[in-house]
Amino acid sequence: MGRVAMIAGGMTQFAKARRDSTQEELIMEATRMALFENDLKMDPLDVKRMIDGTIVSYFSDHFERQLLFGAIVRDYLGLNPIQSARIEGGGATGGLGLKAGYEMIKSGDASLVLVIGFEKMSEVSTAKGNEFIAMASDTDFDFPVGGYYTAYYAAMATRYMYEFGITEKQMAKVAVKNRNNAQYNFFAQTNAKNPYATKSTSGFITIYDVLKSEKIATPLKRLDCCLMSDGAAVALLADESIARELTDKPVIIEGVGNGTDTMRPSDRPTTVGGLIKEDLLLPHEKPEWYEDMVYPGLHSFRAGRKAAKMAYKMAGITNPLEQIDVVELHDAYTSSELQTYEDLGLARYGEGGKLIDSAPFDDEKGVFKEINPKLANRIHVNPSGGLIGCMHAVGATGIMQAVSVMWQIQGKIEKFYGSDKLQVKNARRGLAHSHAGTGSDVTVFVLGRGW
Amino acid sequence: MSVGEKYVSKNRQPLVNEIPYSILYKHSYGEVSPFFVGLSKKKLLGTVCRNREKHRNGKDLLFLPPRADCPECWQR
Repeated sequence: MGRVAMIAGGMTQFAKARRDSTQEELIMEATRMALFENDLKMDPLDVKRMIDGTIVSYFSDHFERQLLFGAIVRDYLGLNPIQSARIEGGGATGGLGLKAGYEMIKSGDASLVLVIGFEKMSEVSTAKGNEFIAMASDTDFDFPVGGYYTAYYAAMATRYMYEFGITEKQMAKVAVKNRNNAQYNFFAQTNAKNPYATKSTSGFITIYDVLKSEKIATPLKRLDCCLMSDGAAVALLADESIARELTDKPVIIEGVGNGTDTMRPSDRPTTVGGLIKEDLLLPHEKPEWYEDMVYPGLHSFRAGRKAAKMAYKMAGITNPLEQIDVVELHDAYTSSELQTYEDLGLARYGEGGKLIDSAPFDDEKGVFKEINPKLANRIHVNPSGGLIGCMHAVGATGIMQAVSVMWQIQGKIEKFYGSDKLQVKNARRGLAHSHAGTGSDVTVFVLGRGW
Repeated sequence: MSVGEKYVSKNRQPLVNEIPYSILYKHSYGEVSPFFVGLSKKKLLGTVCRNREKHRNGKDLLFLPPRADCPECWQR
């Protein structure tokens, strides 16, 4: 069986509320873009008729108030009676959806699969929305004492700061980077030019804005937290031979990884084994770096490390910082972006703060000296703006990020985002990361130029 | 200019229906019910699996929050 490629993608404008369209209409918006705008070498409707599998990924039955939404979506897109499955895995729903699409092709059951992700979170109040999201925590144990995700991440961020000396300022820098990147991404919820944007919560920010924003759960403030969004994103996956018939620029899925951890973060420090014993060292890491480290504790995401290790092995990555040009990762909170640098091996455990500090920063103005700054003079993380700047319409998020990486590699960022500011020059290989819960499920994809 | 601009909707007057939704769940805490009863009496209860020869670290395992079944050896 040959390799699997990602050849096309599309997404909607993201917004706090997209009342103009239903979920299936949003999906059509993204799907039409995927087939009509990605320079496919065949008539889009002929491509549509070649699709022989779909994956529908959405997170919450509570948000949508509709079970079996996949049936509505397939019907609306005219993709019956071909095979399909619904995938759900919290915040990693999009990444797991992509993995299911990849597996459908890899197994030989399909050769051209449309992976569809969406969420409409605006139909309930923001408070009810936070409650629905928190139902992706243990509702017997964690929910009654925390009740919302920012509280869970605040506990983990507090431990992370204590363990490694990370500062609120380092965390705030992540928000500045991602939110200001988003100002050059037409799709982004916080981009003031997005016709659906809420003007009061869009536009550029400084580190002072982040540090002064309302406390949600100490140390996390409003601008440390991701968005809640309406929108859809789709990706078209193909086996390599069909991919080459349909596009001159196939992006190969070089590595796929998935890791898991306990539902309750409090159960992690006591797990049997540690980083070294569980064989979670990456090829470029040395055991002596971590001999005294409790792992994963509350400070690290073992699922993210496991997913990265699996994907790197498959893709032949021996030093991610040297071999990957662009990363889109799940910045649910500013703290989790720093933690994820470490899980992905872009920085040593404990040195995520140093990685964000490596980018030139104007302390007086409180912003990075350039948009989409290079970290470690090498790598770009979340040019799209990520979950903090662009969107978090849960079922669509992992797909939005993987499609963004694909467009980076294809050199099509200006065409889709409407600005070349976020295009990573000569991007050959990228990583897309998708993360659920307090770190219970994580996927990692390594995507590479296939031409 | 982004290709997204031509996909912007012209619909400015969607019909929005307000649908109330209320549910009562009768949720059982199952085998770990004593833990929750204990909380109401200001007691913190855990569970221990003494099946140590079947555990990778050779030790008894304490679970708090409690579990009726041991994830390491699958014994109750």
